[in-house]
Amino acid sequence: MLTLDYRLDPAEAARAKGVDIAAADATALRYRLFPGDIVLRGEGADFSTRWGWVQVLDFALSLQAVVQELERDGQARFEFTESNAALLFRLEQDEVAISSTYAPGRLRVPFPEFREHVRRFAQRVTGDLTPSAPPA
Amino acid sequence: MLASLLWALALPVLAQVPNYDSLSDKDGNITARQRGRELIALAQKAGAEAIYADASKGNPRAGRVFQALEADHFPGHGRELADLVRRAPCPQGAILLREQSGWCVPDWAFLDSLGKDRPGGARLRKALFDGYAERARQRGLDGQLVLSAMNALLGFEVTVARPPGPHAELTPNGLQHIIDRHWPTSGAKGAGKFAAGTTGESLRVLIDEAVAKGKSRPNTQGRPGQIFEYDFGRKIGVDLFGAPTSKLRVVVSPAQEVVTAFPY
Repeated sequence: MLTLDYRLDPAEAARAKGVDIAAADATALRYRLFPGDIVLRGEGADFSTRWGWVQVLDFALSLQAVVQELERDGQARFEFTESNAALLFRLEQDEVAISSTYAPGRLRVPFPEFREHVRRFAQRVTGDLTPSAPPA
Repeated sequence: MLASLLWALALPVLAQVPNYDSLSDKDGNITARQRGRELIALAQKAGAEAIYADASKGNPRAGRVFQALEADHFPGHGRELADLVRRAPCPQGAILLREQSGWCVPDWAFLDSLGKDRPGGARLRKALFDGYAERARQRGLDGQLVLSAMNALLGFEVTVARPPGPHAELTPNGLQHIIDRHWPTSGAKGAGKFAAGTTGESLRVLIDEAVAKGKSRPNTQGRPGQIFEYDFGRKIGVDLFGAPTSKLRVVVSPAQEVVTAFPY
């Protein structure tokens, strides 16, 4: 069972409440606003971060791009914004194998299940962080 | 003569004994009545650098005092000072000076005894700058004011002439972001850090060289801008695991501004 979740940095979350999201540009949305940590774990591995600076909205958007890349190329790589840590995704038959450059282990998830997790996660994140945004 | 020599030799040692009682109770809670500039002066007199050194060694009283100074009093005074910034004419009797720009800005000389090049001093100066920059941005003040405060407080020279060819602008926001995440003194986990001794000027030189000579590729996952990566062939910092590295990654926005830069 895959767990995909996030935690915002409390201080940054409080600060973000005063930010006009509608006026923020793409760089701010993906590099500056909503830092925190992501939870990504399942049987065999835990790739959750404990760094406090992972851009949660960026992660949600990036996972959607990962799904598209998997469908197109059979593999994808997610690079974190502030380090060379990365998550590696590979489509193997009908499963997605997920590994990382910063933690041991490997997750295997049926691709349809992974795609559904990503869709719900992106919907939740965009709904939580950008209340006026349309569902992803 | 001998007494003078012994006294001179003893001075550095004496200077390393902080006067905690002038600032705090025995648990490290700040008890001094002074606030703002007066408290900062008191902290310098009490031996802020030595307090930091004690805190680094695990002294709980020192740790609490330094934390209060860094997290509360210094940024708080920075915000107060940013509130005083205004266009000339400057108020009489205030602590402000008039720059050529016509702005009334703080005279940072009151921090002179807090060394930019020493770890405790650098952290407290940054704490004050953070408060100042935060309030200045909230007020929508000119970015040049923040840049000039950064120069004065943190010792960054940011007016270096650039070589011809591709380059990316290191803005105050970009520099602040890098300081927060990737400076040697940053507490951010899981991120590359620049080597101790890196300055704003040397960072700019690294970025310029990486952008001019490095390999570039489009940013990933739909993020805007470009990524430049360059191997300097000498240590410039540590990677996310703390291992020495010679490689720099620079992310540049479509507006040719540095979004972030870090050793990897």
